[in-house]
Amino acid sequence: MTRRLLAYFLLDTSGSMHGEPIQALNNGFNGLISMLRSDPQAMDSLYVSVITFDNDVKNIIPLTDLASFQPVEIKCPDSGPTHTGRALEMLCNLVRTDLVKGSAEVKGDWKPILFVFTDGKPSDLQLYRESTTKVKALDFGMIVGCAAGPKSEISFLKELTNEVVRLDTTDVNTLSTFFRWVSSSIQAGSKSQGTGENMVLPPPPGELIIVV
Amino acid sequence: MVELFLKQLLTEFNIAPGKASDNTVARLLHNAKINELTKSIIAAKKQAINIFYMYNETEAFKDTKILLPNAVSRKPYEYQFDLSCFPHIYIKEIRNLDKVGLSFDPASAKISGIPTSALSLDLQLFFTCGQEEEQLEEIKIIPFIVNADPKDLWLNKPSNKNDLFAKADSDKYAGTFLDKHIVVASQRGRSHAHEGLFRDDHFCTRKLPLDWEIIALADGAGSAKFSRQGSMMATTLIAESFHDEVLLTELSDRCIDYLTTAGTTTGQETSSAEEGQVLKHKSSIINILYKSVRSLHTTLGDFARQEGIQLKDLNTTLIFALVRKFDNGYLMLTFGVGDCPVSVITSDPDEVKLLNQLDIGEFGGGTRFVTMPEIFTNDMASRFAINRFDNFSRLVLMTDGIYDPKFVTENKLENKAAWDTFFADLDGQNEDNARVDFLRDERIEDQLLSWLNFWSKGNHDDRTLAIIY
Repeated sequence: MTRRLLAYFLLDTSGSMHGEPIQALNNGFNGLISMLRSDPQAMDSLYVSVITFDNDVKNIIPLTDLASFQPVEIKCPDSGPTHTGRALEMLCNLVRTDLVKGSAEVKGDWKPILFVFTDGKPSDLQLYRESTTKVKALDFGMIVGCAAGPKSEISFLKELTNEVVRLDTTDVNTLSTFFRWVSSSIQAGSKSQGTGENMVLPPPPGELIIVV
Repeated sequence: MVELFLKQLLTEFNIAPGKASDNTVARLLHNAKINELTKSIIAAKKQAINIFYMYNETEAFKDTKILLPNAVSRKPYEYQFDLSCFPHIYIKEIRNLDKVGLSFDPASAKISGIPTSALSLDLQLFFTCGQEEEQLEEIKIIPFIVNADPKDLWLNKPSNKNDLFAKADSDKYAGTFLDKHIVVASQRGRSHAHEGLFRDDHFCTRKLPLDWEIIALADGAGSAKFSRQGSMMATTLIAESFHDEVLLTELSDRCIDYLTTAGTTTGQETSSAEEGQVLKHKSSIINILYKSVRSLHTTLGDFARQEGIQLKDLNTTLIFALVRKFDNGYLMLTFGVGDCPVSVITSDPDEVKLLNQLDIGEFGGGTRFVTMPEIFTNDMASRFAINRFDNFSRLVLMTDGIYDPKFVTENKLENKAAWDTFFADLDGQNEDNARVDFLRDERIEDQLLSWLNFWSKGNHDDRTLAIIY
C-alpha cells in the first residue's frame, strides 16, 4: 500500500447557504475534484472525505480515493443552525479510524489536511471550543479555515488555525478561485519535512484575503 | 364479477341497498348488455393501471441513482446494468459513450470496451418501458468519468540551469571500490520533473589515502528551498573531510586497536576489562567520525549565514560508509541521519544486516536532517556503527525514493527474502525488463540509471542507489 494523503472537507450547509451560495459551493467543490484529477500525484495518493454541517452533521462522502470519486451534490436546508462543533467532533472520530500511522510493519500516511468552509459562526460554541483542542491534538499537516460572505466570523476559525482566508462573497467566481487555491495547497501536502515542521501554503490569489 | 361491479357502481352513485335494488341487481346479472359493459370497463381499468405501472416504473428508473464506476483511460472497462427491479425497462441506446470509445450492448445491458481518452461527460440513456402502443420512451442522464492513466499525467520539465545551486537531473558513476566494484546512479523523481524542480538527492564517492574509500548519499528535504545544495554539500564535504592523511593514520591505528581487541574476545569469555578496552577503542573511532559530522554541520551553518538563507533551507539527510580492508576483513564505519538505509549482504553466511537506524516518523515524510542541531545530543553515538565482515557480496546504500517502493517498511530491510526479490528485480525480473548486469561490466552505470525509471504507484521521489559488489 502506498502512502496516502487524506484531505478532510468540512462544508457549511446551514440555512444561510441556501440558494446561490450552495450552488457556488457545489460548483467550486466539484471543480476542485476535476482539477485534482489532472494532477498525477493527487491521483496516486489523495483520499477525500466530506462532512457537511447544518442542523445535522453528515459524512456525505466517506474517505474515497480520488480515482473512484463520483460527482457529489451538496444540499442544504432552507434554514437552521450551524453545528460546526459537532462536525469537528465527527472529524476527530473519522481521523482516528481512517489514518494509518507509520511503524516498522506499516507505511504511514502523510499528515492529513483539513479545510473548514463556513459562512457563519458556530451555533454550538461550547462543543466547538472543546473540539478545536481535540482537532489540534490530531497533528494535521495543515488546517485551512475559510470564512465566506459578509456574515462569516473569522474569530472562531482563528481559534482552530492560524491559516484563515476570508472571501467577501459566496458567488461562483470567488468560490472557484478559492478551490483552485485549495488544489495547489493540497499539492504541498505530500512533501517530506522534518519532524515537527509545518507545511508552507502557496501564496493565495489576490481575491482571497489572508488573515494572519 | 358482474355482481361486484354493480354493487361498486351503486355505492359510487350513492344508491342505498334495499330490497328493490337487490332485486334489480339479481335481474341484471343475466343482462347481456350489462355483462358486456362490465367486461369492457374491467378491461379499460386494467389497461389504465398498466399504463400507470409503465409510467411509474419509468419514473422510478429515472429517479434511481446509477453510479457507474470511474473508468481509466486505456484500461478495459465493463459495466453490467442491473435491471432486476425494472422488468419492463429496456435500454436501447447510450449516446455519448462512443466519445470515449466504449460501446453498449442492449441485449445484455452491458457497457464494455477500452476508453480512449480521459473525459468527464453525461451519458444519455435512451430507454423504453412496456410494449407496443403503450410503450414509453425516455432519456436518463448519468454522469460518467474516465480518469487519465496517472502515467500520462506526468510532465518532464527541465530544471532551470541558470537557477541558484543548479544541479544535473541525473548523475551516475561506476568504478572500483577497494578490491570490489561500485556502481551508483541518481535520478530526479517524477514529482520534481513534473514541476521543473531540481533533483534533491546527491551522492559522492572518493578514494582516500591509506586505502580507505567512502560512499555518501543524501536526500534533500522536498520542503526545503535549497536542499539540492544541502545534499550536495553534505555528501561532498563529508567525503572530503576524510581526505586527510593525518586523520586517517590516526583512524587506521584506532581501527587496528579495535580489531585486535575485539578479535581476541570474539567467541570467548570476555572479561569486563577486555570489554572496557573494546569500548574505549570504539569510542575513539566514533569520536573521529563525530568530529567530521559536527564540522559538516558547522560548515552548513556558516554557508547558510553567508548566503543569507536559513539553515533549514538546506535540510538534508545523510548516510555514509567509510570502508577499509584490513588483514582480517573489511571494516565498515557508518553513519546515518534520516530515513535512508545502509545495508550489507553477506553470502557466507547468507545474511543481511542493516547498519544504521532509520529516523522514520509516524507520518510520511517526517524524518531528521543533518542540518538539525537537535541530532547532536546524547543518542548521537547510536547513529554511528562499526562493523567487521570477513567478506561481503553487496554493500547497498539507497535513498527513500528506492526504499519506499521496493521495501515499503523498515522491517523488510532485514528480511532476506525481500532482498532476494530486490536483486532479482535488478537482474531484470520487472515489467520493463530493465536489467543491471553485475557480471559484465559494460556501461553498468547506464543500466542502473535506466533501471531507476521503474514505475511504482505513489512513489515518485528522487532515487539514488549505490551498490558495492
